[in-house]
Amino acid sequence: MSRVPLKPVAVAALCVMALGSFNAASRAADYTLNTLAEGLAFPWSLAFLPDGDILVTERDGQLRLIQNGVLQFEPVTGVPDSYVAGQGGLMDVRLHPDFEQNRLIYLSYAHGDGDANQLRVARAEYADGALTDLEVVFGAEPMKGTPVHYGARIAFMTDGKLLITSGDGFIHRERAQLLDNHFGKTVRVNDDGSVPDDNPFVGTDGALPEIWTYGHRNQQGLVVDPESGRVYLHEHGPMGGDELNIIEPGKNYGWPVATYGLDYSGARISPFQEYSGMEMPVEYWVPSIAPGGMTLYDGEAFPAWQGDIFVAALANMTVRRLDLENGEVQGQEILFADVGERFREVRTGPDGYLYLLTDSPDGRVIQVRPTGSSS
Amino acid sequence: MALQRLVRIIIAFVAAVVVATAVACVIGTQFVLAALTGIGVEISVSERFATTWYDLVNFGFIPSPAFGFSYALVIGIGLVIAFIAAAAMSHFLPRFRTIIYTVAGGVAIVTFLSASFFVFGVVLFAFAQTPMGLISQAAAGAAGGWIFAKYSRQETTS
Repeated sequence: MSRVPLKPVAVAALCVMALGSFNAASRAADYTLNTLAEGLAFPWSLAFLPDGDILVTERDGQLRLIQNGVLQFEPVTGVPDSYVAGQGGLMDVRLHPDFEQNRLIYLSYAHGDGDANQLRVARAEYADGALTDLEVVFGAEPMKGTPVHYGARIAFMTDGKLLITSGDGFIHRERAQLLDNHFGKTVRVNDDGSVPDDNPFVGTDGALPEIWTYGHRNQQGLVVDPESGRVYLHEHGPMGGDELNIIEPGKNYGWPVATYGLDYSGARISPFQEYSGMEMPVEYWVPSIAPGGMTLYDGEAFPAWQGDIFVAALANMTVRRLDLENGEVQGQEILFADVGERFREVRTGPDGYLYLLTDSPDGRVIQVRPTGSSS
Repeated sequence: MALQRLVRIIIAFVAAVVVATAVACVIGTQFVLAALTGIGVEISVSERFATTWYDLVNFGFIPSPAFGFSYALVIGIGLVIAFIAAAAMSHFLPRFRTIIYTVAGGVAIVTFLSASFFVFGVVLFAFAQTPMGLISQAAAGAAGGWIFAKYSRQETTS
């Protein structure tokens, strides 16, 4: 039996550890955080206009404009009234893929009152700080009496169809498994709100034809990979059990039958973490990080991050970088913990920088750019 | 004698809290499982038993990390307040003592669950969102009240 020389092994181990810490340190030093705007009331989402301006939604119902790097005092006009309560208000904003031609933007928001409210998505033409020709393209049915769990993320697929996440409304969790309602669903519509003929439940008795996937809880992250067409969705679990899923048409993502989470009381929501016929997440978090938004990084500014998913975490007050290979999570890095704020959203800018939204009554837009790059 | 009476009241109170919590948890779990079977989920007897036991321990008696308290603590606080009121009423209506404590136990839990909705804006326990769920929890509190009335009664010598 040969003996392993301990001293060289120890030296090698120290070198590896030193190299590892150097890499971590250099990674951490690679970026600089720059506050682009502050004083925003619970900013929820942002959209980058072709001229370099940025639209930011505030949950209290305002759409704000950052023009030439300066937050404009006057909000955008023509925004639909939101039902602002609990988790509800004005939420997502997305540009139409052909925005430069049609000037259309899409907004998601809570509509109604405390007794009867719903997620709505509307589109309108945007020009010079104003919205005109507002048109509602989706309203979740039925109405509900809770101001929480709206979902409310919007994304355009590679075929130009519009995906919308609709949450379970908190007290309607079992209805996420039924196809006669929009609770806990992802819906797919044409850009005008009409239903595509190739949706999975078109022609199914008792099923709403807009439904694309079901069995979700509160999905606040939705990203389409422009290259593969793969659709990533993350959703809040209850106490534990936040999930990242790759969603495909007609499939059931388990809530509330299959979950890694527990009720806030500590009781089980279900005996099952897996269940036949229901899809498993590609990643899950126990305890919860409370994922609030997501981007698939495809910019040029951080080549090492290309193809990775970034998840903004509210409760965890970090951003998670998920190293993805062919849709599988290879590893996870915790970023921006030193900011010490809840993160609502993370987006990739056309300049290749990351943009973070912090979740507070004095919320910020933070630009993440490589150290040494010009502002 | 006073010490003996105090010990009897404490034991009766602890028994009331344990029984009320156990009944509330077991019934609550059956409501949750019934909601799942109602949407076509198959749950075996062993899975049902395991879930019930899990909830009894982790929901009933271990503080929830989210709330920082257990259901037993909530029920205990509720029953203290309810039993003080019941004691005052029983003083004037001694013949109805058992009924008064039983009703007080039920009212205590309903009051907490209803108040939590108005304070937090959401239903804390999903199973209590329906009238039947709320009534079942009231029944658990009533069982605790009945236990307390029965075992805290001062023995009389003939």
